[in-house]
Amino acid sequence: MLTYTKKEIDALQEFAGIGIGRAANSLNSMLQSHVDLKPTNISVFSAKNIEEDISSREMINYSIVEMDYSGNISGTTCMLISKDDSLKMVKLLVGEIPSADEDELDAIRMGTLSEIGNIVLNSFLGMMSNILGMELSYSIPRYVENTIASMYETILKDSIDERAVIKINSSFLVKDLSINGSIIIFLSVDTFLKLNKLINNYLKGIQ
Amino acid sequence: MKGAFAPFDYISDGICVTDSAFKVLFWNKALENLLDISRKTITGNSIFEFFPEIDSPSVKMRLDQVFTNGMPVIFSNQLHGNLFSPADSQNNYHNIEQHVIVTGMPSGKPDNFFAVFNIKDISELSKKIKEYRTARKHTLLEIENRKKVENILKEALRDKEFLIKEVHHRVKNNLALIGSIIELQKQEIHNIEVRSLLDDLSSRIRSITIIHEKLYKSSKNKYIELKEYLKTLVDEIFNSMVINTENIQVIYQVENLTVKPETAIPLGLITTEIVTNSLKYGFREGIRGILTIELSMDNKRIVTFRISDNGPGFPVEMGSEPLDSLGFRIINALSMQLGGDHSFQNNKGAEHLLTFKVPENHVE
Repeated sequence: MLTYTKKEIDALQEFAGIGIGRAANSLNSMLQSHVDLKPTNISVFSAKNIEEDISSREMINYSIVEMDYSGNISGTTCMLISKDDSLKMVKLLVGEIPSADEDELDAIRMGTLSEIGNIVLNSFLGMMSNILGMELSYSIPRYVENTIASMYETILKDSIDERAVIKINSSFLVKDLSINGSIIIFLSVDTFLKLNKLINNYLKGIQ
Repeated sequence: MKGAFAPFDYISDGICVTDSAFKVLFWNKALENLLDISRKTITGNSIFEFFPEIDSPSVKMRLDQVFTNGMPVIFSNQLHGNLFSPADSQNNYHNIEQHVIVTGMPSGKPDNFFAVFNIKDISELSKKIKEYRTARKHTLLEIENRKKVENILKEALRDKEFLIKEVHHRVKNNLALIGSIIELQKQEIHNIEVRSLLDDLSSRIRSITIIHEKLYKSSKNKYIELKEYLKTLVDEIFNSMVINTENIQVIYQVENLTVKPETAIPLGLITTEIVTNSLKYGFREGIRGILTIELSMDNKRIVTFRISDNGPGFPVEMGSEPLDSLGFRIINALSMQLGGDHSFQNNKGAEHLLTFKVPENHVE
């Protein structure tokens, strides 16, 4: 069964809190605006059950920053924000006036989103690798726009039965703009078990 | 180790390699051209001496992730401007817009990476995007202005239509007033012939009044639906006649044409004359009368308008020459106004035939 116990979920929630907190610090020191970033909830499920995750928001187009990692564990991690929200966020962060005039994500704005995703994913994965003592190497982040169903299809391809999904929903508060985003970690079953073991080692270590 | 960087000279993007103390280890040929700084000048020196923007806590904090974990780091142009902006260059040519990706390259020491800066020149892309945004803004502004003008025109059109309806309403009321005056006048007159002439006059005025009534009530205040108009008109003529019309059946074979008042008014007056004549002379007590009204238009916009009854027909002595009555003079004058041809004959009763061509802009 690809599940975690409540203790393990709590540990993941804690990692997410620290990692995302670091991302917020990084964004705050870099930008003029105060950015509040918090994980709101975390869920772990088998890739076979992604339908439930897709159904409620299948029509929404997302701005997705993807980064592959390999080493002790391997897989892909993504940051997702709805395309509309991501445009609003970029405009606010770079001081453009949000308006209906230029409601498009062009290459320059995509570069900005890639950087924000890079900060969030690096903080989260960096923290995980440090706490759990993992050695990882990383791909250069990719920016894509997709629906959640297409994203799952592209990343999971034929290995849907052998994958686990950890989804961390998060809220971004930039000035008065509240945005909901997610960090999704795709793991092979093997990686899932290794991560489980590392989490349990960590839990034993702090007892 | 320096030899390991040599392939970077074959990459078209600018590549700079530093160690974790920010000392420049390698500067590729593309960067020499891009920023006009030679490899010899910069190699071995601190990168901060040339590019002070990199020496800021927020940039260095993220570069630490590269040096310790080898994590890739992106510095976008929108959030950082140009990190590789020469400190002493007055020449804007070399102040290129850039997107920087830094990756970690194992240094050979444990937990230590070199930072490989990949500097992409996005000046051209940025220029094109700015041009696109400006063009898009102008286009949207133009669309907005056109919408405003369109709304003004729509409002003006609504006002114009309202005024036209108002005019039709007033003309109709004035014609009704004239009709009432004639009725009052008639009550003062006892001569049957004169009273009959006044009745005819009332009917003619009424045929025009109906047009204005329909125009102000209709949503299309420029056009008249002929079928509906002719039925109303004939009903009004029947109601105004003193003779008993209960035994007379009207058969309509009228195509549903919608025409401008310029066509409908003369046609209505002609109908008034013919139907009034038929009611006066065409039917006898005790015989079931049939009045047939036919109207059709072919694909060349030629209208055929026929009114016939089953009465005794025109007097034989009349021949094919029209009577010199006011009614016939009106029919002929209005037929000419329509550019048409009017004829009459006995065909199991009296039959009038009018053919005319409707101008293209008079028919909907």
